[in-house]
Amino acid sequence: MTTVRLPIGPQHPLLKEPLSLQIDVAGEQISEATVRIGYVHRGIEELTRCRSYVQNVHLIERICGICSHIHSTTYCQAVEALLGIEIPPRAAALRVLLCELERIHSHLLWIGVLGEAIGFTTIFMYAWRDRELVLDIMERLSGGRVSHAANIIGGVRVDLGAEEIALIEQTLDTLETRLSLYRDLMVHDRPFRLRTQGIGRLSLETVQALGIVGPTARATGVDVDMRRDAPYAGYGGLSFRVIVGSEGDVWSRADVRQQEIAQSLSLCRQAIRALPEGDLAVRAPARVPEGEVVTRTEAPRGELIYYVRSDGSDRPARLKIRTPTLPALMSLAGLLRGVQAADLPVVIAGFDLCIACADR
Amino acid sequence: MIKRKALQELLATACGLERVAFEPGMGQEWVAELPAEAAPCAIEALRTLPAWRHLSTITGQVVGDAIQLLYHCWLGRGVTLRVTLPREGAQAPSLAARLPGAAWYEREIQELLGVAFRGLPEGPPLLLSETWDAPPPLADPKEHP
Amino acid sequence: MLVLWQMLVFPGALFLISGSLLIAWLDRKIIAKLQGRVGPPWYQPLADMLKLLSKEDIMTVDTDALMATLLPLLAVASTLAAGMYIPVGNRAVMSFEGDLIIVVFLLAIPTLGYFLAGWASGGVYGVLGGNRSLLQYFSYEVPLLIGLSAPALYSGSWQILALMDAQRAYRWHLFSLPVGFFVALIGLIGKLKRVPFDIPHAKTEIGAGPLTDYSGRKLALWKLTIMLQTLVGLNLLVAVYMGGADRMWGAWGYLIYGIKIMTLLAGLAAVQALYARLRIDQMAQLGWRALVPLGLAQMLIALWISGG
Repeated sequence: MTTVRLPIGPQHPLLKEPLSLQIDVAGEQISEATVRIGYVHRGIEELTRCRSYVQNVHLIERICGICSHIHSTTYCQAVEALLGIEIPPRAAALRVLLCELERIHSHLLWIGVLGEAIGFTTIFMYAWRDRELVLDIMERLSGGRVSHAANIIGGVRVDLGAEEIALIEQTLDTLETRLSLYRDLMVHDRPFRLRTQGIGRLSLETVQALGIVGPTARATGVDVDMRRDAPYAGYGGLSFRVIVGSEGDVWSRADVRQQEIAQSLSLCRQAIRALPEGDLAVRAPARVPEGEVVTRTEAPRGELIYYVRSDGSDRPARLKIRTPTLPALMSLAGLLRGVQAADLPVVIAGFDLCIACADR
Repeated sequence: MIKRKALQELLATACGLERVAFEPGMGQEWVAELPAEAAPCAIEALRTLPAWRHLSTITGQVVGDAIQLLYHCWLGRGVTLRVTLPREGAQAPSLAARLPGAAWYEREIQELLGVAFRGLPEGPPLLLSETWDAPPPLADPKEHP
Repeated sequence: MLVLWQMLVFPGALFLISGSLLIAWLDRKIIAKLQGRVGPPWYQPLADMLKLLSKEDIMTVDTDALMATLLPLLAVASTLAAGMYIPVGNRAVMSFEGDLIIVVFLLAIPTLGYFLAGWASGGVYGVLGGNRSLLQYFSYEVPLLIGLSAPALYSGSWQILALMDAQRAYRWHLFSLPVGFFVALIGLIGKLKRVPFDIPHAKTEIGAGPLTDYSGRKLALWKLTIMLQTLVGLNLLVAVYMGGADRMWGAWGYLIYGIKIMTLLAGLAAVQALYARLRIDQMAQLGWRALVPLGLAQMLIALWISGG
């Protein structure tokens, strides 16, 4: 059986972002796979050294479009720790609200992408239609659908009035009903299960050896969630369940994410109902005293870790970012070997890759 | 719940590192300063603990005349190991043989800082293109361009 | 003269081409509505066609130029030819005993041509798409043929017009041979490479499959072939299984015939909206393990009932 070299990417209808996969296909089996990233490497870490801490808030948010808020939240948290300041409780609650809304729309985006990858365009249309509801809230609150500029060092910039709260509650209710569609899909739809169950299975050993985090790890049984294990922003006082699966296949990852949307809806409600009064931000000096800090948060795709070192000036001496997609990408090449060529889009889409995050 | 003393004793027995202390720092982390070459053994020792979850990442940075490698680990709480190397001809042992997940982090430090990792499998650069012919971007001696 | 008019205009080429554009639009509109979208305006398929015809026709160095040029022409021609034998309303342009077999044969040419086009293009995606298309061809032409044979055995004729007449007074083959209808319908979906059988041109897997390296006029002709096949295929099923125009004359005949075509189309569109794409092995298994046995069983039953 002759081996055909199938290049997927850097540009390909399957991929939303540039990623190079060189796949060797023998018949219908993938015999070899090589993964290369770096096509959207913008040198963010180097760029942050050229900008002040305040200017970097703008830059950091643009690492990724889908998880822009968690990046700026993590960054602001790190700088606030270096400054030794604490943000007001209202700001903490608003950060939680925006983080959870972002998680909802990121997971919905992914459900749609997975549906499209298996030819189920109807699910793609529905999921992205529901996602629009969340993006409309974001736009209402901050003026931007994708980049919100909601965080500043010391707190937040956006606020909720009675009208916005009513709108958000209404949207959350609508999303709750629509979520039942996706639940039914996971459980009852036979073609969906045929195309996702048993596919792209990651073993616990692989997850642990590569340090994979997030819903992908939780779907394999790893019980780690930074919101619970290292509470940040306003998460300390909120109650939610960490969803852990067991099968480690694409179906399990879809199931974990679908349940996480439900948890996020609940967290949003809690954040709104218990919204404390008070200021939105505290004053933050431009110069940051010498020091170093490590901050970890739970982005939609997993643990996001920032290391910041300051040298007493108004610009960071070093900013190091590790996004959750990076360890997942490490497993991709190994996982693809032995997979059927027809399952390739499902496996790739099933990973919820954010290449812009990985490349920085 | 892991205790700092327990970690110190573990490193002493498993790797012969007698005077390594875990101090609170970097926000919520516990930080330990390791001698050069000690990182692989220390990481392996930490991995034996039931609290070990994953290696979050490896940070490389230039501080003055030295290059620091920071190994950020998650054991239910953050634990960071710091290794300091001289800037000229900096090299370190790779973790990749025992912990494959370290490979890409080391490769990134290799191409962005110029640190050579012994034992890291050959391969294309992670983020830069193969035709990159300028000095490593983060190894610049200027503090703030 | 009359025959020439019928061949070229109605119910021949011009009707088939404009009808297929209309069907393509309805198809997209129905699917859009099912997906909560607005859908394209009525002239969209026509606009797409005109746009493609005006684009540059690029061929890579690996392409077999002769094959690449001839195949789409052959595909369109054979589909139009097949359409001549199938009654639109109450009349067909041509008809003779045995034309059912000819029609199936003519309709098979574009499907074979599709996979050859992939090979002729010489590109990786084209070849892979062509391979998948060939496997699908084997898995779905057979059920389609078997499904269409059942009414022929039942009513004792291999002439499409005669089969239509045999169903007068609402004794549709759909009611007497429902399993055969089901097998033929699924076979048609597979032949038209619609979801859940659209593997050969699964965008997220192998670009556009066999047609990846085609552009301009050639691509326009291929798109036209697909649209024509849809109309002619639906036409065939309506005539053989649903009684065609039920021998109602004049405008009523065309109206009834139109409604049946729409109903089948709505069914196909609903399937497209409701299902995910099957993997190539799952699709082949469905074809051989489920459809073919069902179809054969239906043929035997048809023979037995008709006392033949």
